Amino acid sequence: MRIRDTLRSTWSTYRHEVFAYFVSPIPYFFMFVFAAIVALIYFLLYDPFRVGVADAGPGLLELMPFTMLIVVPGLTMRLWSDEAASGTQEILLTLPVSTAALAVGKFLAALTLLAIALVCTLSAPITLASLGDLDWKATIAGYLGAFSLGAAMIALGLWVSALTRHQMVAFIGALFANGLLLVVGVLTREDLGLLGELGQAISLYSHYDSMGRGVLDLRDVLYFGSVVVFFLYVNVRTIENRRYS
Amino acid sequence: MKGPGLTIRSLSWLSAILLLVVLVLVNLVFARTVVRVDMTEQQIYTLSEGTRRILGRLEDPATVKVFWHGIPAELTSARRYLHALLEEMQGVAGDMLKVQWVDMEDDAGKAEAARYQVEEWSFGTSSAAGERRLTQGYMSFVVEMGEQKPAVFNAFFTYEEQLEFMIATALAQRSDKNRTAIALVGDRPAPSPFSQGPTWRFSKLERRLEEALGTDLRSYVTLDEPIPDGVGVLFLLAPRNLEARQVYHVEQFVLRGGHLLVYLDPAHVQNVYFSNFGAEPDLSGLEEWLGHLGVTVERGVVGDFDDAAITRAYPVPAAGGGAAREVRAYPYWFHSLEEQHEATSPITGGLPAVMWFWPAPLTIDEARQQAAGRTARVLVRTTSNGYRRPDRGGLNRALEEPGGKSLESVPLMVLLEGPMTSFWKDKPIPGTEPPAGTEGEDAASDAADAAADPGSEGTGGDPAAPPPAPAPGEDGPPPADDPAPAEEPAPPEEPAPPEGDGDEAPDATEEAPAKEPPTRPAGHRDEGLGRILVATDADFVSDVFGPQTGWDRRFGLGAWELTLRALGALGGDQDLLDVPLRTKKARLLERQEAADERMLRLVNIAGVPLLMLLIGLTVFIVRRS
Repeated sequence: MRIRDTLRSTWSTYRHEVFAYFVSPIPYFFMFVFAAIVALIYFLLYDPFRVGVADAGPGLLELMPFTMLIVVPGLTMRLWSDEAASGTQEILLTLPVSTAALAVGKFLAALTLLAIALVCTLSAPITLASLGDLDWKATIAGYLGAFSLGAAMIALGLWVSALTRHQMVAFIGALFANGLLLVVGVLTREDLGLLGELGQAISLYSHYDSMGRGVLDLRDVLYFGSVVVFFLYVNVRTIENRRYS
Repeated sequence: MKGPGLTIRSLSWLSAILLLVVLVLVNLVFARTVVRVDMTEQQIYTLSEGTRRILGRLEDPATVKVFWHGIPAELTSARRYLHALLEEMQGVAGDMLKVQWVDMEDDAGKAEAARYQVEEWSFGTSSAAGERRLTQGYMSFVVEMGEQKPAVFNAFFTYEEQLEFMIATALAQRSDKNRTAIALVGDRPAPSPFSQGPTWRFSKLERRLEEALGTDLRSYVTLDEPIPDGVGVLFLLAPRNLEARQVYHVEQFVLRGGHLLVYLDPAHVQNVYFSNFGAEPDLSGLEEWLGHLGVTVERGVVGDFDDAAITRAYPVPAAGGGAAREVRAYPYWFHSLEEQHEATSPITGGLPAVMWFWPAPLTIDEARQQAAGRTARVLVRTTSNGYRRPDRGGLNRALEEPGGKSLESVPLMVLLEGPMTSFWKDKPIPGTEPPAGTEGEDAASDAADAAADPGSEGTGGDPAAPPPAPAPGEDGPPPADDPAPAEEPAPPEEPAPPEGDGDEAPDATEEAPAKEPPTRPAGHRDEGLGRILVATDADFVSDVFGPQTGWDRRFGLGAWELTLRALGALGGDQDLLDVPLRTKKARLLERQEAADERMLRLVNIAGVPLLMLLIGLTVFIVRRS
């Protein structure tokens, strides 16, 4: 019964958040920025017509994490900090809804928006497929990788947003935290001993890399799942602590 | 209230740490579990069946030692791929394969690298500020089995797609003690004290074959002598001006059951670009012998006016006067794609793309093949827009259009299999003294032979036998199962009778009873079952046109894969044939007009994003109103 109630309140929170998103112009602007950056990088800087190959990997899926690094903090920055700044958080916490349901609902709503934003970038592979023999299965695997990576980034951004009541601080904090987890794998080398191994193991990019190439590895899925679970839990704990303090 | 609050908060963070520990442990438990779904169409990141069989048949433990240190961050994906590949291999081989990542932090690791002659590479990297730096690092691995010579691979020059093939070949070569050798023979330039580095234009391919085949590759075999018995496959790479005696040794090798791979290269980068522009093609010396087998290598060059042609910049008149350069398709450098590769052959089936550079046209005399009971399978051909250019004048500069040309599908690679007869049947063997009184009778005899016996190869329209290059006491090839040493020459006064079906000797010889049989070296064969694979390009595996790190990165592996598959097939190693080199399929985009490209760019860059913005604005206005 309790699980059912939690699921129901999660669903309510999710619906509320999604509705709040789509009645505001902000998510559309978010999708505009995301789709425009991806398309600009791919069609102007990389230029598939010059390369002449129907492959969504180089230039599109390879660079997706860095585009998401800039855009995802914009998506998560207001999720908790806005509630805290406007004073609605106190009201939320008095409702007969668990904090976990609130956090998961907000997370899923942001994830839905990211999924729609990713769908907006599908015009690039569709263009390639119309002019050549695109490997759709590998492309879909790459998009699943981007989605998983985005989920991890959102979970982290959501927690950062819970730590402050200032949206800009939440944005910069999420940008920094996600950036650190992303580039730690690019900057470290495994031959640097334990430090290098650790850098590769915790890096978002290391785990995205093989998915971006079309290989779904259980270890990568497990890693992204762990990041999501951990930061959602920490998020819940942070809000709960605020409730008790 | 502060006390309980603090306790709850502490417990809260403690539980978070506990969760973190649990999650880390779960990840660590699964860190060694390889459960992957390779969603690429060609399964290029999945261990092939051939590799699995090779790993499964390991009888002695093998070790792969990886020397990886100080590599720039941009190359870490190669490391990850190697790591995953070795993990997967270990999973199949179990205890028979040990993987060791050598700790290069201490001197022991560097000493071990030096012991295997693993080189330290210099890498140019750019800092965030744009400064160029040079760093040193290791990026190699060694495959070792027992006391056998270890195979050392430089991963820096090995593309990810090749790694599995390289490791599998090294393991296969070391685990099978009965493998026949492959002899690589080419027209190498004489070593010069003034030249630095490799001077042969196929040195990269040779190095790669050495890496893959180890002691299976014999680069020292010469055609001046009969091909040694241990050689199963003879690879003639861009042969030039072979003497009749050398061709004879090649032929006898084939008639003894040896398999031959020939990459002819009548038009190549050196004689097209630099010195001999428009001149006669280089002759291999094999032309007449191949003609005898019903395969004619024409002078001229093959082009392909299909979309697969490679683009290059042409000088064109500029609009406002002067000269400009325009990128156009150059039909004499083109790809053969999967559709042009014989699907049923293990050599070409499923091979995605091979680049060809000025190949020569081939003509196959089907009637002659049928008469001889032989099959001639075209393994690679051009599209139906192929063109047999009869000459080479202006080949490098002319911007040609297909209009007015006779276009057809032109063979580029053919596999001959079946009964073959000697070109020198009833003729003096090159390098032996013809018996007195038989000079001048050979051509007439040949013609009579051909007329009398339709099953015989005859010489058809062949010119007279190649001029012998007499060298008294020249060695003859040994019979296939004759343990007699090859060095033993046949006594000229006691010619050995030809092997094979002596009963099929043409009756026409009865009309010339005075004729004595020509001298036959020991072990000479007049007939045999042969296997010959002929391609009319070698540039495609040359250092200049082979795999590069630049523009042809996508397809450059094709010719190497074709070569390695051909050697594997001719050597009869089915397991190796099943280890793909994982050349990525050539997924070419249809060429678009410049205006169409602009439109597509605009739609992608502005269309979808603006649509989102428009919806957002509409929502905003509706909400405001």
